[in-house]
Amino acid sequence: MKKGDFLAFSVILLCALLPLFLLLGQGVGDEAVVRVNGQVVARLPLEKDGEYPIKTEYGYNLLRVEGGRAFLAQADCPGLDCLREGSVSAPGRVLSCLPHHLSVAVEGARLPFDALTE
Amino acid sequence: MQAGKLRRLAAASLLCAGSLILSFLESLLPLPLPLPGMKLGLSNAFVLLALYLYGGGMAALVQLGKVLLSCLLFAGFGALPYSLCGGLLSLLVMWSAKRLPLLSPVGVSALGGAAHNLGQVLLGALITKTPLLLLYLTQLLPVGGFTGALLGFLAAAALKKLQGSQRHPAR
Repeated sequence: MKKGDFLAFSVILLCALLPLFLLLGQGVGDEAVVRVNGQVVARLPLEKDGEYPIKTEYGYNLLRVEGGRAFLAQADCPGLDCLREGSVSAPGRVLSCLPHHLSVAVEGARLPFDALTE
Repeated sequence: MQAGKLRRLAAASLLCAGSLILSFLESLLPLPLPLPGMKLGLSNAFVLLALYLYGGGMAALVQLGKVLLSCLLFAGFGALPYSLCGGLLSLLVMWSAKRLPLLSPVGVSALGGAAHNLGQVLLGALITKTPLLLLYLTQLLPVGGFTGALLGFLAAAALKKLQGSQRHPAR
């Protein structure tokens, strides 16, 4: 171990904090936005329970929304990392199955006024 | 006259095989870690050894061989672009970091581990066009740096033995 090693650790930890700035623009999360290859294929309101199978040329995933939380319930990739990610409900949280080019982000897409005027 | 070349080929094969064995062991014991890409990355110890014993070219050879073969054998080709991107960035960072005299293998390996995660997540965010994916890095970078540092200790201990031995002259 040399002095520079601790400098390296500090650089890594500082870099780890940078992505937090992404959270600044996030409003109230109420939708799970499903993207395949960068294309939005579905927007699922979190207040409604349901299942959404995602079958693409890359593979199969099953997204489930339950009690205001979204999680990936099934997948046919070899790693199954996405099933271990748990569930998300807060704005800015993401799930992903990268081998399948899939991401699920909780975004506050709609203004809260929609709910008020109904 | 070909002895040097043969020795390098044998060393490359040995290092590649070593890193694949560690990849295999790691794939047998999937840790219940909450994020994609969060893992020990044991096989990187051999890339580090290749870098210190034989230089950047050998390390690149071992890294490429390991990425291609481990995707073929364990991870699947869906993971290949991410492994490749992470692996190459990690290699580049470690190769540059090794040239800094103020870093020991521990720091070099920590930077390499973090760079591996950085490369994977950057490509993931690019492919899925989801910048929020970068938030994984808040957890992946510290963990990648930590496991990288541990492997650095391991590799440094191995290097001490190997470089002290006459049968394995360092080049």
